[in-house]
Order: sequence, then C-alpha cells, then structure tokens
Amino acid sequence: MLGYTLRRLAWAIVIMFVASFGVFFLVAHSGDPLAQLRANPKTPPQVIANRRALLHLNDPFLTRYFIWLKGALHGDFGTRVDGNPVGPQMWSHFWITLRMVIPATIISVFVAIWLGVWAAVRQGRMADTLITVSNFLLISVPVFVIGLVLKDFVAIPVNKHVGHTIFYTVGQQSATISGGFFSRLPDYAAHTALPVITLVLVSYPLWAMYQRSSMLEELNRDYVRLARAKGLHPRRVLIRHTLRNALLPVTTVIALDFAAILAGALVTEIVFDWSGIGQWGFAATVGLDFNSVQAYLLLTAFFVVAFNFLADVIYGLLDPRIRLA
Amino acid sequence: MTRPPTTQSDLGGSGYPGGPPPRRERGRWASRIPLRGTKVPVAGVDTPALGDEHGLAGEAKGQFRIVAGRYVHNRRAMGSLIVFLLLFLTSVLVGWFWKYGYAEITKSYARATFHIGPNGTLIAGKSLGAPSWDHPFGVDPIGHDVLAQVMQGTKTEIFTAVVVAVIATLIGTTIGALAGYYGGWAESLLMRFTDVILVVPLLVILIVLANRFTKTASGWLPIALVIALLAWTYLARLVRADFLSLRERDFVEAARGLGAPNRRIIVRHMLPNAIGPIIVNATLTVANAIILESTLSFLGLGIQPPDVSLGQLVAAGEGAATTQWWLFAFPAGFIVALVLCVNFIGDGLREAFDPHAKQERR
Repeated sequence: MLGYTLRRLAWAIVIMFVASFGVFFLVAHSGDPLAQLRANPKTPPQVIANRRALLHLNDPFLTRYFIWLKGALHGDFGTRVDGNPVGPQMWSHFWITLRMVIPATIISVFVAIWLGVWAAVRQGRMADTLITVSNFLLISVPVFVIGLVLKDFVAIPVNKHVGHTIFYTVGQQSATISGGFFSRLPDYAAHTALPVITLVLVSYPLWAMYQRSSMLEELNRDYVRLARAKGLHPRRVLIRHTLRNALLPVTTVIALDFAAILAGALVTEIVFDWSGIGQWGFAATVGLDFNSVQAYLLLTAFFVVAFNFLADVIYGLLDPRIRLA
Repeated sequence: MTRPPTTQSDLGGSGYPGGPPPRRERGRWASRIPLRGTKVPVAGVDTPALGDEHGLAGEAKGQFRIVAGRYVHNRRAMGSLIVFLLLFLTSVLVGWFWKYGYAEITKSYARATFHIGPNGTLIAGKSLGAPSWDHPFGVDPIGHDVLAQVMQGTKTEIFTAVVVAVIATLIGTTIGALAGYYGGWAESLLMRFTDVILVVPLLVILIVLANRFTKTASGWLPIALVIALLAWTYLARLVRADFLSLRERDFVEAARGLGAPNRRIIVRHMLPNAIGPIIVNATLTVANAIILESTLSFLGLGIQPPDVSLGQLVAAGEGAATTQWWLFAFPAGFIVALVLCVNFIGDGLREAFDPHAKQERR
C-alpha cells in the first residue's frame, strides 16, 4: 500500500511540474503585459523600465521560469503587473471562493446520494423518472444560465414580493459590513445562498446518476438477497449493506470531479460578482497579468492533483483489489 | 447460425470468386471482416461456396443495423434526434428565407417606457420590442431581429460542436488506441501527457488559450479548434482501457498470427469492437462543446461580433432579463434545448450499443 501511494504521489508531483511549465509557456507568450502601462503616453520610460526589471521581463524565458518556480516553491508567487505582490491577494480571494465551494460540495454530495439511492430503489416508477429526467435537464443547462435564472427569475421576484432583500445577487458580502463574525453571519448567508444553490444544481446531477447506477448494480447482488432473506430490516439492508458498497465508485467520481466544481465556481463568481479566486484569475487572464494567472492555475492544479491523489488513496483503502494489482 | 470453420473471408483472401461480393459486416464479430489486401499465403483453403455466403448475408444483421434497430425503438432518443434535426433545419432555413438577416438593423428596437406616477416618481411601463408577428422573438435595443440572431447562433453552435466532436474523437481515439495497443513507454508517455492536460479544469485552460488566440480571430472555426485540441482526454482514457482488454482477445492474436500489420489490426479488427463507446462519447462531446463554447462566449472570449453565438446573446440579454425577457429567454432556451437533445441522443446510443447498460432490478 505504501509503495502504491508513493508511486502515485511521485507521478502527481511530476505532472504538476510539467503542467506548471506548460502554463508558464502559454501565459508568457500571450502578449505584452505592460500594454496598459504603455497605453498612457505620459508614463515615463524609466517607470516602464523599472517595472520590466521588477517582473523579470528582460530575462530569457527559461530564466524567468526558474525564477518563478523557485519563488513559488518558497511560497512567493511573484509580482503583479501593477507592482503588488501576488500571494496575499490570491489567498484572500481563495478564502472567499471556499465560502462558496465548501458548502456547495457538502450539500451536493448529500443531495446526490439521497436522490441516487431513491431513484434506484424506486426504479421505473414515478420518482425515478422524475429524478432521471431532472438530472438530464440539469446537466444540459450551462452554469451561467442557472445562475442568471436564479438571479433574475427567483431572487428578484422573491425580494420584491417580500418587500426586503432576502437574496443578495451581487457580491459576497455587503460593502458596509461591520461587527463581529456572528453579527455578520446573516449578511454572509444572504449573499452566499444563491451562488451555493447554483453550484449545487450543476454539481449534483451527474453524481446522482452515478449513485443510481452503482446502487442498482449492488442491489442486484446475491448478498443483498441473502440479507433480505435472513429477515433483516429493509432499511438496514439498504443503508448498512448496499449503500456502503455502492458509495465506493461514487466517492472517487466526486473527488475526480473537483476540477469541474472549480470551473463552475469561476462562472458562478462572475455571474454573482463575487471577488473569488475564479473571477480574480479571469480578470488576470484578460489583463495579461501573467504572475497572477500562473498562481491561479497552479493553485487550481494543486487542488485537482490533490483530490485525484485522494481519490486513488481512498479507492486503494476501500478496495484491496486495486492496491494489490 | 452454422458455417464452415474456415472460409476465405475469415482468413483473408484477396477477392471474391465472381458474382456480387457479399455485404461485409463489421463489428462485434470482427473475425468476419475479410482481410482484403493482406498477402497471407493460405494453403489448402477452398474458396467459399457462394450460396453459403449469401445465406449468411440474409440471416445475420450487421452491427449497424442491430444498433439502429434498437435506437429507433427508444422513444426518448428518437424524439430528441428529430427535435435536434428540426432545430438544425430551422436554423438553416431561417438563415436563408427569413425576411431579416441576423446582422440587419430593423426599424423597431427594444426600449423601456416610463410614465410619471402620482407623486412625480418614474414608473416603469411595458418594454417595447416584445415578440410580435413581425418579430416572433422580439427585437434587441439596437434593432436586430432576435429570431434571426438566435437561429444564426444555433447554427454556429451546432457547427462548432460537431467540428469539436469530430476532431476530438479522432485525436482521442488515435492516442487511446496507440497507448492501449502498444503499451510500454508509448502508453506511459501518452497517458501522462493526457494527465497533464487534465490537471487544470478544461474551462480554465480554454480561457487562457482563447484569450491568446481567438479574441482577435473571426468566425467559429478558431474557437472550435481550440476546444477540440483539449477535449479529447476523456475519450483517450476510455479507448485505451478498451484496447487494453481487446488486445488479449483471441481474434487479435489470430490476426497477428496471420501476419496482419499492426495498423491493420488496430483499424480493422480492434476499432470496430470499440466503436460503441467511441460514438457515444463523441455525442457527449457535442453536448460538452456546446456548453463550453457558450460559456466562453458568455465570458466574451468565444465567438466575437459580428458573428453571433448563443452565449454571446445571453450575455447581451442578461442586463434586462426581467423586463425584456425575450432577449434572455430565447437564446438560453435554445442552448438548453440543444444540449438536452444531444444528451438524450447519447444516452439512447449508449443503450442501443450496449443493452446491458440499462440495468434492470431482478
């Protein structure tokens, strides 16, 4: 088991390095990062020259990559095009994204498992048809459409009907917020509700489909029939025996799907104007702020690799056939 | 069905002894595919009796016909296919025959109206430019006919998605097949390459690439190529896994024993056996490509004006979604309709290729 884990970890690290080089190559050749500075004819040439030196733009490509890599390994993600350091900004935006992603992931997992099990148990009946068709419908709707529909056709009418703002549709918190954490909590919740619902609606359907089919597979097995024949309570058979085994493939699917959640968070943040890491990274990409893009991609890649690795380890732990193979 | 153990078509003869050649069947029973053109000396094998071959052709159905037969009986899948084709046909016909072009600025335009309330406040009235007989989907604030625009967007979306699916399927199948067939270092190299692409969410790399390459490009082809160059990874893994197991099957060994070259074994023997998942995945790639392209266009990095795409129209209609609902609802609705149809088609194909995939409780 240890050898298996270490081998996977070694590959994960190699992949991270190759990916970071690829990303650096792409971003470094995307255009002139100082175009905005140059656009103002009054910028003194000395300022531009200093900024070039600060961003290492005078060095050859490979040197720049190694300077960046060395910094990144030490936790220093370099300088933004505007001269500020990347690191602190990135972490504060990342924290804002986590406020959306963590609740959304937890809710999605429970919704997916519950609906998947329910659909499998009632296969071919009304509930199953409804769940399956709604799953298909939801995987066919792009994130931005779900977000906009919730914003314009749910939140705004509800707010109008009630007479005061229940759902905020812009930003992750009110600008005029004050007080301690607990007095801010209602404000956070009112801002977080819609983005979280959006992310849940795009994340759970696929997982629910997997859960349904893995549940159906387990329900057909002999041990389930035996457990029932022994006279165990059906609910106990379902939860303690069947679901435990059916969760195995779904766990890995969810861990592997983490990349999709991060991409979904990017669009959700843009629709609801959250200053999360996705919107920050997007703005950096459009503004050719290469060190920020680099940091964003590296952070994303880190989490994807980490979750992939986690999926491997979980699977290896749960299923001895994998780690012995 | 009974047939003699060896006929020339099994072992690779190079022609048919007069008369019309029997219909060739490919698929699950790949050993039945005649290895035409391979120069394998086969001693002591008679030419097949013509009557036998014809009897077979009457009895057995090709894989294609079996699958098509199953598909036709799937009401949801068939309905989706018809709706999808109708959407495509309508978008083409509207482009040709509708009185307004998608870039044409008509006389009417959408605008909000206000009237002054009792205490001097402005009260929003009905918006002008809503759907009417003249403009079934309404007009936008500039004066474009939304029907013409949505149909142009639908057409663009379908073209983009199909090109993405075709190219991504070709790349993914090639890489997966090579990795799965040859194994060893070729497999390691190709699959690690795939892992590197998978390490960052597809949408995020697409944003970086689109920002670099297509923000200044025109038309839908550049963006389709950029998506296609990244969208093959899942298929490559799938095909590799299939080929890994097919490689060990007897018919592959038989073909190899008869001296068939690797390329021929891959293309003519193994590929027909893996075609089901490939076609299903290609369909799902169409659905994915529509979502990715419309998302990029929504973010302003996809298809650029004056070309029109549905994501772009949604982004334009977003600001006034509650008052001028037609600017948002029609393009968004068409995206969902297209993707939903393609997903149902894919699901129908999956069930048609592999009826066991449809799990029934015993």
